[in-house]
Amino acid sequence: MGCSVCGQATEQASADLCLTHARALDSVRQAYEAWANAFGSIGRADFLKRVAKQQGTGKNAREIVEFLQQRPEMWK
Amino acid sequence: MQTLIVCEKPDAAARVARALDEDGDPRRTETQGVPIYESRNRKETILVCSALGHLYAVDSKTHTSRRCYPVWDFDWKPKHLIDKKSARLARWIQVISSLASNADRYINACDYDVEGSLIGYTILRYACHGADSKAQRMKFSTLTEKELKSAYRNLAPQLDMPLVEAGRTRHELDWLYGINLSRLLTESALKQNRGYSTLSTGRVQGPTLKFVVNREEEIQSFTPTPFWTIDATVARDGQTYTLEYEKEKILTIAEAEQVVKDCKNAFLEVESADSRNVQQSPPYPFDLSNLQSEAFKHFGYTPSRTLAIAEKLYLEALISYPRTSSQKLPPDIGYSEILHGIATMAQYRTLASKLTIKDSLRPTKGPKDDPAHPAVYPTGAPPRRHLIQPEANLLDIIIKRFMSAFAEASLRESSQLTLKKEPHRFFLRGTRLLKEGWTQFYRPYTSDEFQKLPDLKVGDKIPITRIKDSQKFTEPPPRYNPSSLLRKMEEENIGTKATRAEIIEILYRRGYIKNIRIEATPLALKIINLLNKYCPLIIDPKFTARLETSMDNIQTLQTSRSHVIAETLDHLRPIMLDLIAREDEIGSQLAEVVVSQRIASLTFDYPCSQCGSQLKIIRSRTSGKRFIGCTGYEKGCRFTLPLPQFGNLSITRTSCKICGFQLVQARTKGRRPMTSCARCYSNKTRANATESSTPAAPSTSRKATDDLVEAASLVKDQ
Repeated sequence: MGCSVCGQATEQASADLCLTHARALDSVRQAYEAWANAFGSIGRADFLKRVAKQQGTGKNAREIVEFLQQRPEMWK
Repeated sequence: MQTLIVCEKPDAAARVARALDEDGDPRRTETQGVPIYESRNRKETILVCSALGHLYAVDSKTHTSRRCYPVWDFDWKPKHLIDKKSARLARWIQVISSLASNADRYINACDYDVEGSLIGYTILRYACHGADSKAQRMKFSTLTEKELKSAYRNLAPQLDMPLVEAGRTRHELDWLYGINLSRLLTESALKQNRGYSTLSTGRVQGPTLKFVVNREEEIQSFTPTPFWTIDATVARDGQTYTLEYEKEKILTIAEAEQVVKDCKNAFLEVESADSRNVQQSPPYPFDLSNLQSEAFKHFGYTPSRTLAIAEKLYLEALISYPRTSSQKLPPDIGYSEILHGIATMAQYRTLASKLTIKDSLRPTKGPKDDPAHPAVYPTGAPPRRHLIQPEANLLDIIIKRFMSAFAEASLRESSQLTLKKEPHRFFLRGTRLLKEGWTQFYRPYTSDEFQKLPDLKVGDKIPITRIKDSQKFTEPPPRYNPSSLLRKMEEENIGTKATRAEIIEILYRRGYIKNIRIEATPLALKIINLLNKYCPLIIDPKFTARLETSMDNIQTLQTSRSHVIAETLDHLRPIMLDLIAREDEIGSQLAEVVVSQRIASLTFDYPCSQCGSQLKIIRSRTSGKRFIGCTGYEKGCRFTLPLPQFGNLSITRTSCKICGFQLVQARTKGRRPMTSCARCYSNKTRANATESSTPAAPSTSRKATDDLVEAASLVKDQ
C-alpha cells in the first residue's frame, strides 16, 4: 500500500505513511504537545489551522497538517 | 647539459623561466601552440614547459564503451583519449615528449601538493619515457623570484613518491566509485526510455549531498512551536536601554503574561554590577577553508570562486600557494621583508609601518598544519596591473589578515548590570574597547560594535519605561550555503581542501542542489533515498572519512596504495552486484523524478502576461538559442523573452524587485552566477532600440511550437 499522503511506497506494507511523512507526522504530534503546553490547552483543529498559517512550517509537515484536517482519526 | 622543468600551468612556467634565466628574460617559443621557455645560465640550458593541469587520467583498461559497468580494471591514459573536450592536450603531450628525448635532467616544478606531485609524475613517467625514476623535485610556496631561485638551488634528489602514491590512490578510488555508481544511476534511468540525464554520485559527492538532503528533510518536516520573549526598556539621561530578560525563551503564555504583570510600572533595583576584561587574540593566519569562509561572509564569493581568484593571485606572485590547510607562518618566509613590501603600498603604509618597527615579529598560529605549505600569506609584492574588484578584495583581506597575525591581542571591557524585581532578573550588557590591538589591522572585516551602559550603582533604582511580551515561533534549521557546506565537509573530513569547492559545484551542475541558500531538489532526495536504502555505506560520511585517513596514511607510509585499493574493491564489488540486481527498481524510480524535475526546471511559476498560459525555457531548433516562450503558442500567443546564452540556466524562486518576474540564474564554472530578470532586460533592450530608432527585435521563431514539444530535452549542461 502506498503512503496515504503522497502515494509513495511505504517502508512496511502495513504502514499508512512513507518514511518522510511518518517523520513529519512525528514532528506535528510533538509540536502539538508544545502548543498545548504553551497555551494551557488548544484543540487539535485549532492547532492545525494555526500551524498551517505559519511560514516556518515545512512542506511535508504542511501536507500532514492538511491530511490530518481531512482525516482527524489518523492522530491515533 | 639540458634540463627540462615541468610546471603545472603556463603562467607558472613563465615565472619559473624568468626566475632561472640569467638576464630574467627567457626566450619564449611556441611549438604546435604550446609555449616553451628557454632559460640560460653559465652552466646549462633550462627548458621550461607546462602542463594544463592533468594530462593523464584514470580510465577503464579494457572496456571502451562508456555505458559498460561494473568496471574494475583501470589504467592511466592520456586525457585526450578519454575526454573529447581535452583534444588539445594531445599536442602538449607530443611537445613535452619531444623535449624530453633531448634532456639530460628532469625536474618536477608543479605545485607542491598531492595533485601537483601527481601531475608532474604522470607526465615524467608517461610522456618523458619513464623519467620519473631519475627526476628531481622543486619545492616552493610562492612564485617569487627569490623563492624560485632558492628552490632550484635546493632541489630534492627525487620525486615525492608518498604524495604521488596518495594522489594516484585518490584518483583511482574516485574513479572506481564514481564510474560504477554514476553509470549505474544514469543507465538504469536511461533504460526506462524516459530520456537521458547524467546522474552521478561518488565517494565524496554522495555523503556531501546527504548532508544537504538531511537538512532539507529536517526543514520540510519542521513544525514551528510558540514561545515568548520579554521586550523591556529602561531610560537614563535621555537614553533608552534595551533589557535582556533572564530567560531567552518563555515556553508558556501564562508565564510571559505573569512577568509583564509583575514588572509593569515597576522599579528595577541594581543587584550587581560586574565587569571583566576580555583579551581577544588575533585570528589565525588563513588556511584555504578559512579564507573561503571569510570571503563568502564579507564578499559573498562562493568557495570555488574564491579558490579561482586566489590561484590567479598566486600565479601573479602576489600571494603564497592557496591550497593549504596550514594555519602557521614559519619564519623562513621572511616576515620583515613581506611587511616592508606591504608598506610600499599606499593604503597599507601606516598600518604596516607599525609592525616593521617592532623588535621581534611573532605571528599567531592556529592548530592546523600542512607539511607541504605554510598558511596563505601575501608576498608583499605590489600588483603590477590594475586588479579587478574581486581580486583586490581578496588580496586586501589576505594582507590585513597577515598583518593582524603579528599584532597584539585586543582588550575589551565587558560589563553586566543585573537588575531585579523579585522574582525576576533583567540584564544590561555593555562592551567597550580598551586596546585596539589586531582589530585596527583587520578593519573592516572585524566588528566594531560597542554598547555603553547607564551610570548605575548597586542599590540604585530605575523605572521600567516599557514592557511587553512578544509571541514568536521557532524556526527551521538554517539551510547550508556553499561556505557552510564546505565547512561541514571539512569537519567530517571528506574531500580535500582542493576538491571540496568543486564537489559543491558538481552538485549544482547535476541539478541536485539549487540557490545560494542550498535547497535539495526532488532528484537529490530520490537519489539519496535510493542509496540509503540499497547501499547506505556509500553515502556514510564516516566511511568516506575513513578512506581519507587511509590516503593520508599513504603519505606517511603507514599503508600502501595497493592495500587501500584492494580493500576498496572488496567493499565495492558486492555493493555493485547487489545494485545491478535491483537496476530496474532503481531505474523506474529515478526516471520518474528525472522527468518531473526536467519539466519543473524549465517551467516558470509566473504566467504569460498576454494569455495566462505557462512560460517555459525553450531552445530554438533553428538557431539553437534559448529563450522564454509561451505554451499558448498554438493558440496564437507570440510572447517571448530573451535569455542568457551561456552557462547552466535555472529558474530561481526569487522575483525581480522591479517587475516581479521570476529571476533566471546562469551558472558557469569558476565564475560568479549571473542572476537576471528576462523581462527587465527585454524592456531595457526595447527602450534602447527605440531610442536609437532601430527596428524592433524579431519576435518568436515560427518553430516555437515544435520547440515547445522538445522542451523536455532542453537546457542541459552547456
